[in-house]
This record gives sequence, structure tokens and C-alpha cells, in this order.
Amino acid sequence: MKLSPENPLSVEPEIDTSHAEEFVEELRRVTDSLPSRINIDAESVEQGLAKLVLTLIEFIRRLLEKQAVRRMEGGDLSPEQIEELGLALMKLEAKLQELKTQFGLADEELNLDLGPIGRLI
Amino acid sequence: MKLYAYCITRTATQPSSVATGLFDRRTYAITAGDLSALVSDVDEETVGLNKESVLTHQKVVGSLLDQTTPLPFRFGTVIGEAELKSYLESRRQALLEKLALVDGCVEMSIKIIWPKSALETRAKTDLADSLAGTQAGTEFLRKKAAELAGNEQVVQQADDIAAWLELRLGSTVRDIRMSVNPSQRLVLAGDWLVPRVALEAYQSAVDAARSERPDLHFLSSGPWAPYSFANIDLEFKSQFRVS
Repeated sequence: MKLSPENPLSVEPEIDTSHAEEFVEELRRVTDSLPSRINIDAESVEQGLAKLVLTLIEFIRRLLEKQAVRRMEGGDLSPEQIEELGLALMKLEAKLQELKTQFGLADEELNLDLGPIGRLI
Repeated sequence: MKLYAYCITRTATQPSSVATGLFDRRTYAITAGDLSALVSDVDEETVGLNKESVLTHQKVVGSLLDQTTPLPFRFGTVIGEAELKSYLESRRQALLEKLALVDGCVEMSIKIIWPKSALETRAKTDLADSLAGTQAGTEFLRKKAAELAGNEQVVQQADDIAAWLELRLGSTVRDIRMSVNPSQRLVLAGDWLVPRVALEAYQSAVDAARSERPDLHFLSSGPWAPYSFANIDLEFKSQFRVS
């Protein structure tokens, strides 16, 4: 930044970091997960819809997991119920993983940007 | 003929010199009373997102920054002249208030990457002790419990970083936009509206923060036009549904 008493308003932007490669990699990853343009064709609509639906399912799945863990830690469940609930959630996770693979979606893509509120997941 | 819009200024503070616009077109002002928008002509309804165009947009907006503080449009705003004038007239009061907010300021940016390997290692060690002799479903649920406990710690640590940074820099800035993402390595992205007269104090505070937390990786940049504090593109789109 070119700041000096003789030239207080000089405002050429500069970037300062000792970890340039790390930031480039992270920013590229974040940028790649954002849609650059919405292309209205049959394939992208199907992909977009799958992404939206799977994001909501993933959100609900995580809520169910949290609720199950709370109940387990709160002592509300018998060992049999814990095992049964755990198996059900395990199968749900495996099924969702299968669907993500089918639609070519990575974990970090299943999210929604809610603007000022932040991200859904 | 459509117009590509770069930024809004007060008519009274129109700049004396501005860089050439997209596609080497001349930039000029569209005026509506005491507000002006800096534009250049474009033939297309949309402008492609590429490095050259983005840098040209920034160059035009940046060329005003040493003369005044404009309200920049987000990259890619294309509009007709009548619609632009109508927007300036109908949103006059709100735009003047935003210009007053950013007056005499520039935007500075800080991004932070954090190392999370220590947390991940601790969670795995705790989990291994608790899983001996359990069944598959129970094992799965206990694993999730350990992950959630780890996540809560991570969220708390991320919030602590944001609070710490705000404490260190807050006194030198007029406004802050900060997003914290505990699940990402890029844990924090903050934009700071800094009065030009406080830029040196801000820079000293950033340097001190870097020294205080060598475990965090910083990227600081600026000065920029106040993109994060203008937010005029959203209003613009909702009013006229432009591309």
C-alpha cells in the first residue's frame, strides 16, 4: 500500500500473505463450488434439482443424527435402541453417499448460501 | 445500446479522470440530479466472466478511488439508460445514505486459514478408546457423537478468532462484514470499512494481530472500493430484473 504523509490518498490495492499457494488452493476450491452462470438445459436442470434435493436431505439427516446423539447421551435409549437407531442412520448415510456419487456431487457441494444468514450446513 | 455500470458517485464529486472501460470503450457519467453512474457502452446483454473483464471493471472503479469513494456495482451489471436513471431517482435517498456511510473510506480485506489437524487428531484418539467391543450401529452413533463434540469445539474456536480479530481491529474501522466458516480451512473472511485517515493505524493493528497469532495464516488485501458495503446490485436486480 502506497501510504505516506505526502501522498495519503494513493490507493493502489496490494495483497499481502506468506501463504500464497495455500490461499490460491482454498479460494479456487470455494470458487469452483459456486455456479458461475445458470444454464437452462435439461441436463443442468436435472443436476441442479438433484443438488437442491440432496442438500435438503443432507440437512435433515444431520438434524436426525444430532437428535439421536442427544438422546443417546441423555440416557433416553436402551442399548438395543441405540444399536437400531445407529444402523438406520448408517444406512441413510450410505444411501445418500450412493446418490451423491450417482449425480457426481462432492460433499462440499451440498450446501445453500442463505446470504446474510450464512450457509445452510 | 446497453450500458455497463461500474459505480455511483455524487454528481458534485465526479472524477476528473477515469480509466478506459470494457472492450476499450470510453467511460462517461449518466446523471440524475445529484447522483451519477459511471458507465460505458456494451453491445451484448451480458458480459462474460473472465480475468481481463474483471480486472478492467476493478481498474475503472479503482481509478476513482483516489479522488472519491464510489459505490461500486458488482461485476456484470448491464442496463438501459432509462432504467438506470429511474433507479438513481427512485433510490436517491438510500444511495445518498450509503455514500455518506462509505465517504472518506476504503475497503480492506482479511482472510484467515487455520490449521485444524490438532483437533482432528484429538477427536480420533478419544473415539478409539470408546469404541472397543461395540456393535456396528452403536459404533456409528458414538462416532457421530465424537464428531459433533469436535465440531462444537471447532465452531467455538472459529467464533473466538472472529471476536479476537474484531477486538484488535475494531477501533480503527467504521463498519465490518465478517463471515465465519468453521467447517472450512478458510475459516474467516472479513471486510473492513476503514477511514483513509485511519489506514496506517489499521495496518499496524493487522501487523500486530499477525504477530500475536502465528498459528493462523493471514491474507490481507486492499485498499478496494467498498464492494461489500455498497450492496447495490441486489437492489438493482430486484427492482429491474436485469441480468
